[in-house]
Amino acid sequence: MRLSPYLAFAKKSFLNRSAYRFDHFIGILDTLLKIFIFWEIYQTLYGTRVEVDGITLKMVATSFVLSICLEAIFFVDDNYLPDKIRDGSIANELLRPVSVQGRMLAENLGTALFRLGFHFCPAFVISIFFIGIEMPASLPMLFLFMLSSVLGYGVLWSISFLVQMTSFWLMNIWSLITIKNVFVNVLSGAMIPLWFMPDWMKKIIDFTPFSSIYFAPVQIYLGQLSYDEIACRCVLQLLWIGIIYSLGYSLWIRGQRKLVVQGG
Amino acid sequence: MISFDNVSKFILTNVTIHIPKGKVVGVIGKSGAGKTTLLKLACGLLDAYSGKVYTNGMHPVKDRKRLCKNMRIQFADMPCFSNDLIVTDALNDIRHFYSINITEFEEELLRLLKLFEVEYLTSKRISELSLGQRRRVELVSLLLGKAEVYILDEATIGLDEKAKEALRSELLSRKRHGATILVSSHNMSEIDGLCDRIILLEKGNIIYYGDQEYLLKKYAPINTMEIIYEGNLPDMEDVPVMKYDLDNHRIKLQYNSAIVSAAEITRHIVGETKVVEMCVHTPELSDVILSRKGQKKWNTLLK
Repeated sequence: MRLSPYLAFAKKSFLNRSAYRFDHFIGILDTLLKIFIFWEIYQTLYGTRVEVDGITLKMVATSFVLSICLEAIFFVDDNYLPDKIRDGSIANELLRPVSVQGRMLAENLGTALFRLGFHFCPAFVISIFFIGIEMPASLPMLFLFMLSSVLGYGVLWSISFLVQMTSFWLMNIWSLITIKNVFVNVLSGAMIPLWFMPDWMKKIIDFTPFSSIYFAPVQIYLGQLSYDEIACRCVLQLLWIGIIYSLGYSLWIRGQRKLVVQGG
Repeated sequence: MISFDNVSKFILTNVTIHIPKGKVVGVIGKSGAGKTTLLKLACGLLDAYSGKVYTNGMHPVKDRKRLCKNMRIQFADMPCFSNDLIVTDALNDIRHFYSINITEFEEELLRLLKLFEVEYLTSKRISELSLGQRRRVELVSLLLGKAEVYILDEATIGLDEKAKEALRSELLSRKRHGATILVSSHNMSEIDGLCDRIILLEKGNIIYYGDQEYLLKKYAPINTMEIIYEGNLPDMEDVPVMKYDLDNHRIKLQYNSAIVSAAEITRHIVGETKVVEMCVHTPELSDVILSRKGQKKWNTLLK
């Protein structure tokens, strides 16, 4: 497989992002607003208490600041394939000597990289300055946090890929995408850290891929997991990527089959 | 090289055809005759119910990713670019798709943009283009780089004469480099003079595959002759013409070229009167379709 076209697409996507300055600044503002709203809510909830269930306010703050900032980087265009399938340009894409999902990943990564530099960094620095979050537990933990974040993005991307594939059969997948986003937001710990979920709920969430997206990296950052547990989490993340991507890929093959048999 | 062996799909039934390398083949037929289906089968966008299709020696559906490195397609009903792209970006994507050398690419791009007169559009968005402009940009993207197989559906839709001529000359130059080209059109006169062979489709069957001249003789043998004369009215009773109209020193007649030649008719008329001017109209490809429909094209013949 040639890598050069994919690099070119990622670069193009990166540069395209920089063209939309207004969108970019509004995005940063959005992230900061979210962080400050959560900050106010948790401050009020904690009141004068130092900790709840052994979790300090500072840990909660670290959790949602990291989740929300990661959310800003974790960019997946949910309408990439549905749009192409709807307007029929998917047929043209199939006849290019470049893999469609590879190109999608490359373009998403280009945007994600742009956001890492120009969205995550400023928002994160401002949050540290105003809210004050925990430092990473140790230097190795910081690296493992980064590794786990990349894998978390992989899980999120695979879920989106799977959902997008259903557009071969469904006229409109807007509702599916919305449901997916709600699941991701609630069950991944991006909104409410999973520590505060009831135990039975935690058990269910452990069987879903969602906690692998944001919560695993956050736990690693805070040093809550031993090396064995970290290894376990990373393997789980890889496993989820494998499972979900394979499911999506089988739909992709079936979708193409449907195209060549029925003619779109 | 494209070959169909007893292929059935949708309206197409038991189509067997062999298109050698380096030939331009025009596919003509009424709407719904199966032109686009034939082209989509050849490029792997459709899989046949039965029979075998080979393009460049490959199975177009199974080996699509390998095949499409050397194939360019253009279907009138499929958008080529997404609407929010800038024209330059859209065209630059072609370079990445086919890994074309950058200096070569830019030279070629400049030449094609000039040829299709779209160099002033490069900074516009695809959504801002008119149909004709978009078609030209799509053709530029089709012709960038080198390919062995070109497949064009409704190639000349939305093009003016100049652009049609540009497309024709470009396709002919590709052909000289050994490319196999499959072009469909319902406006037959558009592909006149481009195709080595014509496929005439009717209700999913190939009813003719061969060169253009023979097709015209076989399916549109009716020629028209117009003569302006001075003097006596010629007597037309002895000549086997199908129909004639007299109008104040002007005679228009139709004859079947398979039965009587123009020379015979002229000889007859010259013998009877003094001819000032004469001209013969031979049918065009579009007349073939009309005569197959059973419609006589009186209106154009008697213009």
